[in-house]
Parts: sequence; C-alpha cells; structure tokens
Amino acid sequence: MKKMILTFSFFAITILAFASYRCTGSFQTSCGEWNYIIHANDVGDFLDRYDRLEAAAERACSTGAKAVYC
Amino acid sequence: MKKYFLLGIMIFVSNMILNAQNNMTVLYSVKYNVNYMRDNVRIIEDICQLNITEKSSYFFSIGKEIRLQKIREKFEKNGQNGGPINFKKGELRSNYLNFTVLKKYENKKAIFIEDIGGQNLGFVKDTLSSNRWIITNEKETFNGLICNKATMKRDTVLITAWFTTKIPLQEGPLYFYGLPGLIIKAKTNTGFEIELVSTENKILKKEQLKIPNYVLVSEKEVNRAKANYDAAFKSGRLPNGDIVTPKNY
Repeated sequence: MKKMILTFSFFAITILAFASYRCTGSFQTSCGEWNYIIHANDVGDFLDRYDRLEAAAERACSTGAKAVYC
Repeated sequence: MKKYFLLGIMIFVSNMILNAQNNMTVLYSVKYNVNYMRDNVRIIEDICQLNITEKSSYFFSIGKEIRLQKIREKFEKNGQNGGPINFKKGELRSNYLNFTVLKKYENKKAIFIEDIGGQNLGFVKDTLSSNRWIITNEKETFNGLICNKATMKRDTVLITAWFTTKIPLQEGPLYFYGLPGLIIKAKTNTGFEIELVSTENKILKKEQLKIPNYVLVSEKEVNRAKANYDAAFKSGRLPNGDIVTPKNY
C-alpha cells in the first residue's frame, strides 16, 4: 500500500512538474531593462505573475511615487 | 442623445424588476475617460468601465484588459514553446488605473481592490455618504446633457463633479457617489480628470460581472503588503519563486 502511494505521488509530481511552464524573458521600464524567470502553471498564472513583476519594477523606478489612490 | 439616455434608464429600471428573481442581473454600463496628471506628467490615460447593478457597482480599467490580452498573445506565440517572452519599452501600456472600486450599496462602502503579490486585497475607501456634496447653481452642458456642478472636500482632496438628473443614478467614477444623478464629469485637485464616454444597457449572468474575490484589510495593511512585495522584488527573488534581475546586473 505504502509503495503504491509513493509510486502514485512520484508520477503526480512528475506530471505536475512537466505541466508548468518555465518562462524567461525581459522587459523594459522607465529606468532600465530587467530579466525574469517565471514558473507559471498556465497562461492565466503567467499573466498575473508577469503583470505584478512589471508593476513592481515601475514602482521601483519611481521609488513608490507612482502609487495613485486619488 | 437625451432620448437615448432616458430610454436607457427606463429599460434599466424595468429589467431590474423582471430579472430580480433569477440569476441574471441588469447592468447599466458606463464608460469614462480617466486621466491623471502629476507634475505635468500624464500618469494615467485610460478608459474605465462602471458596471451598475441593483446592489452594487464595479469600476475597473479597460486599458489593463487590453494589456493582459497583449501579454497573453505573446505567451501563446513564444512562451508555450519555451522561447523567451520579451517586451520592448512602450510595448505594453502601463498608464492604466491599477486598482478597481467596488461599491456595495447595502453596506454603504466603497472598496478599493488591488492585486498585491498574488492576492486581491481590498480596503474601505469611503462610506457612500451623500451629505458632503455641496450642489451649486452652476450649470454646464456635456454630451448634450445639462449638468449641475457639485463639490466635495474629503481630507485634503477637493472633488468637483458635474451630474445630470436626467440619469437618476447616484453613481459616478472611483468612489464618487450620492449625487441625485449620474456624474458626467469630475476632477480633483490632485490631478484626476474623468469624463463620460458612453452608456449602455446589458443583461448578464451574475458571474460575468468580473468582480474578483478579495480579502478585506485596512489601507495600512495594503500599503504594508505592497512594501513587502516591493522589498522581495528588489532582492530579486519573489516568495512564489519567480526571479527578476536588472539586465546589466
């Protein structure tokens, strides 16, 4: 039983590892260019992670001065 | 123009009654041009949509949706094959409104919502009180609609709004609320300038309203979460394992 669970877990982890995307690339902000590595589960996950990274980069450029809450 | 607005309101009210019992919701959808200038620099230049239903309204950026669509296209073209996904300067718009506003009429709350480090955090920005507006006798015409001028002071922010009673919805962009008609134009002394672009009636399923799940915290906690994320960003490694480095590093 224990062996079966271990085998199942191994395959599940292997499948999950291959199911994710290792995305690399670069983007430019007002204060320079950045490289990134994002491990995304799917396209939606990539969108969210990338979007956050670029927003943080822009904030880093302007040392927080771009935060706008009217 | 006026006729269409009035017809729209009539359809909105009648549909509200017809659809109250099922999963459909009636939407009066308003689009605004949103601009924000600081030190003569245009920081926000966006179209935002205000979806109004019988219980709440939701104000969000359309510019952000366009941006996400561009990222999606690039991911599908390169990322899925393991290729690099590079973005040139100016390729993606960054001058969009990066938070959304949910107004809950029953709770009398306007909640600002923002994705910070993978979690939507919201804080109460306003209590939807109409008492603070001062309605003046000044009138001006926008889009063929005669509008009244009103002002409100909130902390150090002075808000000037023009509203029309021809559209009897106490709604407006951002957290602005409580005038006896829809806000057609608004500006603040902090640099916001907002003007109505269009109005539309829609009937949607409630799940199509796009209101995100969020955790309600204080404004201080939102700022702290943002500072923590930014600190992790500066260290080069995010809590979720993502890595970012300046290119000349």
